[in-house]
Amino acid sequence: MLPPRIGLLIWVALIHLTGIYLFTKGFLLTRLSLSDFTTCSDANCGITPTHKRAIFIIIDALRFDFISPNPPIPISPFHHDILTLPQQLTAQDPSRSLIFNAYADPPTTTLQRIKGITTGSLPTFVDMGNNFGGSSIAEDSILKQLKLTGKKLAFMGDDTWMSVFPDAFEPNMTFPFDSFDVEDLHTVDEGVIKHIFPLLEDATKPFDFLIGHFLGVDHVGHRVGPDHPSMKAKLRQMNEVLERVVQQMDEDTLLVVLGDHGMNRSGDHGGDGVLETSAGIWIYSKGQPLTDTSSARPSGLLQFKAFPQAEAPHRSIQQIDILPTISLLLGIPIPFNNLGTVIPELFWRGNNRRGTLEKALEVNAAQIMTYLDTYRSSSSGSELDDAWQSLQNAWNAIDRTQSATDSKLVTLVNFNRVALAACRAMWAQFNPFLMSLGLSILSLGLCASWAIYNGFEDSKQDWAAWLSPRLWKATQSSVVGALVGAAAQFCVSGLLPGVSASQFVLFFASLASTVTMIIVSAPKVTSKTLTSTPIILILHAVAFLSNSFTFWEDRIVPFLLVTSIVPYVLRGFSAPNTRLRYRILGFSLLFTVCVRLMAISTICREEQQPYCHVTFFASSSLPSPPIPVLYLSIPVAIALPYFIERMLHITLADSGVSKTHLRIFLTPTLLAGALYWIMEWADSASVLGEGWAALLRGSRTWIARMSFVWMLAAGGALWSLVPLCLDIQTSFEGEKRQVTIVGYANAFGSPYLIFWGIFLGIVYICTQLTGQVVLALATVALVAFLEVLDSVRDARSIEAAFASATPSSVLDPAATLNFSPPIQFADIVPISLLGLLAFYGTGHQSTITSLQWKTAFLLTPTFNYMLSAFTVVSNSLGPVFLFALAAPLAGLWNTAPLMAAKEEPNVQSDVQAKNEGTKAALGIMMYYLALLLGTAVSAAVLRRHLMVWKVFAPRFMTAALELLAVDVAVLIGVGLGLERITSRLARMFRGRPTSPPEQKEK
Amino acid sequence: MTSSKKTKSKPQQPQQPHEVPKERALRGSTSSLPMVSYISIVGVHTTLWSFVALYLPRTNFLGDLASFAQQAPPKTSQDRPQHPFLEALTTDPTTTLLYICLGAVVLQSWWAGWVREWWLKMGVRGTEDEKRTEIAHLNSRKLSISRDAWGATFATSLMIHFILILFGAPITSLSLKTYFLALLISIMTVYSPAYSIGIPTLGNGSAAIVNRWTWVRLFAEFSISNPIERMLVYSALGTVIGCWLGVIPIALDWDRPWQAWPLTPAFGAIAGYIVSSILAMTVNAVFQLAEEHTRTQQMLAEEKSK
Repeated sequence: MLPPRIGLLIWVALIHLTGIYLFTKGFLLTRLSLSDFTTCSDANCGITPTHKRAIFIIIDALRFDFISPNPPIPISPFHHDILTLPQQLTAQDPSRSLIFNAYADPPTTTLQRIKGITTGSLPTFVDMGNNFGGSSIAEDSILKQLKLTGKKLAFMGDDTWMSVFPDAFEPNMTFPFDSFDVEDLHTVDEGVIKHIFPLLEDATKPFDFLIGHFLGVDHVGHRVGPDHPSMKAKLRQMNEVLERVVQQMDEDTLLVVLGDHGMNRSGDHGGDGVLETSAGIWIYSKGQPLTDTSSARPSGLLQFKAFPQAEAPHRSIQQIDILPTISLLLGIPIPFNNLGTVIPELFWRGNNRRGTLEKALEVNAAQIMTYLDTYRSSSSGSELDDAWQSLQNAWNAIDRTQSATDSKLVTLVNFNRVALAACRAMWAQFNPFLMSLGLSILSLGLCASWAIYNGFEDSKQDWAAWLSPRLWKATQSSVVGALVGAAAQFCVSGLLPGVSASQFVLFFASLASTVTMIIVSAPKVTSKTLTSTPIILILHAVAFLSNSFTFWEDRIVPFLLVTSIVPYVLRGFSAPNTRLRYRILGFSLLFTVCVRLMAISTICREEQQPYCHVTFFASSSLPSPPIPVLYLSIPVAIALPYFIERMLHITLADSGVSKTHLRIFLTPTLLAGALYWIMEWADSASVLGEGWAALLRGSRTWIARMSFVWMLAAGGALWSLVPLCLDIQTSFEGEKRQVTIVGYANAFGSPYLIFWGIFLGIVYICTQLTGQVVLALATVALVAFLEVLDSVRDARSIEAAFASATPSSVLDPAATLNFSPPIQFADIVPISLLGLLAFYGTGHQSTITSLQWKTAFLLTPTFNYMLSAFTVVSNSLGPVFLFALAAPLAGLWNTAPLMAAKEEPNVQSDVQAKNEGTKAALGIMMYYLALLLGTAVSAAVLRRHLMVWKVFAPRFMTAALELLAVDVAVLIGVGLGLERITSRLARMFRGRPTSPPEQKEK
Repeated sequence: MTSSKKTKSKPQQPQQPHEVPKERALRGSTSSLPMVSYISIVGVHTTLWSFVALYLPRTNFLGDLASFAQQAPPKTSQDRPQHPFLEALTTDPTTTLLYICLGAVVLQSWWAGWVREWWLKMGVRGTEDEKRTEIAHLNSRKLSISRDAWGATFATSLMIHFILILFGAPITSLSLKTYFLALLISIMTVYSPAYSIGIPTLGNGSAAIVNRWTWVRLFAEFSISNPIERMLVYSALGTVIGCWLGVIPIALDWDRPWQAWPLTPAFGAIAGYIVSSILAMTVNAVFQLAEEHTRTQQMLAEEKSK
């Protein structure tokens, strides 16, 4: 049967899951996708098509300024004025060539943008999670409309399209290429180039609509950033391709070139920064003019926007506007879900300019109104209630305005924009009821954890007997709660829309369970409770209510971390003897210095500018490690295991199997990690020349694979066979046989640290060079803190012994238990914060943009769903996971197995270690749960805040993921690590409980 | 407070065991803090501190000496210009801090003189004669003690600079600003105790050990045994906590010039110092009153029994 303390941790984790699930369901938005499609009664919907064919070229991450005729100042030599064809042709003939600055709706990820461009709808936040999985679009799209009119579609490039539109293209004109190999800058582009020109040259004109999706620019951005010679070469290549396309296309073909999104200064994207949402669009026609430049277009229809640091504002549109525009230009109906507006310039042509534009806008507005009507009559229609009145007003205004006037055009455009704004607001619609259910489960979970934590503290050695019945009661009541929930759903489901039966059941089960737990283990509130208020935790959790504190969290964490060590330092001054005094002060200093050094490394958030300098990379636009880190990486990888060995030597726990582990497994793994990333750097910076690229790529993949297998399989196997770091020496003093157990004083801590080292190795490989140095510093800080904790505990127990009636009992190991103070919540706080600091120091932020996609190609050169996801997750959540896994060490470090005292021989040797280890695990769960609660409350309260999708929601999602990582870590730590160690120790000392082993200490 | 009673009553009782109660009450008030002067000095002291913090930096008695290399003017949004009162304080934080530090030197020298006098009255043990010679001896060495105390203040300022960096102050940039903050904190917290108690030394003599442990008792364990210690410990704690809290507003994205480093922690420290000095005074006064009250009660009881 499951030991009760593991059952407890699972129970707490389940409560977390339920709370997160309920809250997320209410908070993250979903959009109902309608499967209707548009049909036009009259031919071509009443608009004369201008072109028979279209070439639709997507240059992934083509930011507006890359093609802008007036790029921002200062001009970058690497990406400005290089792709010059659009501006050249526009200068030559502005009636056939138009450049726009298009606003791409966030999240600015390729899948979302493909959906947006082809369906004309808005992405919702939840969609983004599907970026890896992809999922085919059931909604109406331009591809579907083209198919319906019997047009032939050709495709080449990014294979994301294949997952979205699996059977839209002609099989003999479909050339997909793997899109996730960010390190490969050329394969996709060369594939597109190879296949596009034969189709263009083909005299039979086999295609009506050709999609070419180039990925190179995006990959260069991810890999080396926009300010790099590679970007210049890439853009020049794109320019040449476009020149050839323009040369070869015929007169009735429309050319559209666009970026699906932009990129930020370091070349990444995903968020809603202005650089990420500004994409370029270029529309070109060789034959018929696109627009009439001889007469002025009606003012009030055209918007202008200045790109950051650009001198003049440029014509700006919504990116989805391209969809109705090319639909009508090609003579097909506008897709049903479209919310874009036709671009006025492109219909301001021919003899009846005003009439054409008005007709196009009317078709457009009618399509949007049909969509809104249909959505309103759907099951999610009530979402539109708030905006309906203003939509109606805007719609009625169209009928009231005189036809063939400027104001008619303006009212039409106005209606479309009001509809777009209403839908944007609608899909920021929340379910406050579900959110409050989630919040209440999370809060009750926190209270219950606190109650159990206090119960553990009070029950001391009898905790197992204390815990089992309570856990059993909580389980029983959760079953009852589930039944009540089912019944409640049956009764009130009509009153509360949007809550499903399973959500009711989950809520009531967790509610009953947590409330029962709180009642049966109600903590005694004493004055001690008040004095031990975790002020740091409260400040930390409350800080999430401010957007400033949320995006400066990476600076706040080290500040709080150094603050959290202050009580130990003060304790150090008054320690009872010199040795303890020096130990506490020295290790505290080591700890704080490490923390401060870790805090230097940062990858800045956009919001932190201009007060932040990127130190994780060499510069903000060059994602390679800084030069000093390159020199440091190998020495650090060698020094870290040596440091651990040295620290274990203090308690002689470096004997036994620990030396083997450190020298044969940890050192090679860390070295391999450093080597992998140095080779990666050499490859991307081409320090050795192009000839080496293939060799570097191949060998570094094998290095990573081999060290993974070595550490996980061989290291893990050895540890599980021989976990203990004890060395048993037998000597004879005359007749008497003397058995000495070396390393006994740290019998629990040292094997656990070795166990932890296995995971350290794995996370270390998955971390980039600067992050590796940070992880090493964090490890040093962790061990230093454990030593501080141990010394402070020694100081306390010595004082307690002197204060007791029998001061000499300080020498009696069996009696020390009574004086050894239990760990407190304050002892867990530094470890929790250390995890967060390591998260920030290893180049992460609570933003989607800061995910390090490079790590997806650690174990395989091409994208692999399982392995890439694993390495990216270990890279992002690894630091938090590691320090949650280390939390039980706070209770285990330098704790020796209890001696069975003569009067009570039944005391198990590991009862204290198990209790303290579990308490520490529970403590770190509480810390991260409190942070999650803080972020969830702030996201819920500030859900209409300007920054909610930029700051609060990402921080909430990070906190949720971090909490899950913590839950998994403590379950592995306590369920696997601690369990194995205690069972081995118990077996070792079985049979000799009455003669306590000779202790050789320090 | 129980122990503070002990220190006061112990030396008295052997000398005037059976005095007239009236005289005893008189003696009690002279050997404990002279409340009236204490309260008025704290009042003057805290008022002067506010003056030093808010008005001294607007003068420019140092002329060009205190004009540091001007950085780009701190930005403030045009629609919400900052209050003109703050303008002089925020134009150059380094100069502001320098003026405050200079003011602090004068102010703390004066204040430490009083603290020392009270401390000698209460802290020196022994018979009346021994006390008198001890005090005379210490007073003759006033100058060297003061020099040592300033030395300790300076040394601590370097240590505090390091501690500020550990707490997250920039390592290489803005060093002068950080240093002035460190200097200000150390003048506020270190000088008065160093001047009155004496600086802790590493010697093995009993005096050195007692001295060292007094510092540990006061500033690491926060255990207080008389009103003077209370004012020292409270003001040091108040300064540090105020400085710690002063860091918080820096992160806010309000773009106010007063958020410039190290203005908020410096003013936080001063505010903390003022508040905690007044708090210490209040607590001292309350205890004193309570003590006098019990003493009167005893007197009445004794008179009744007569």
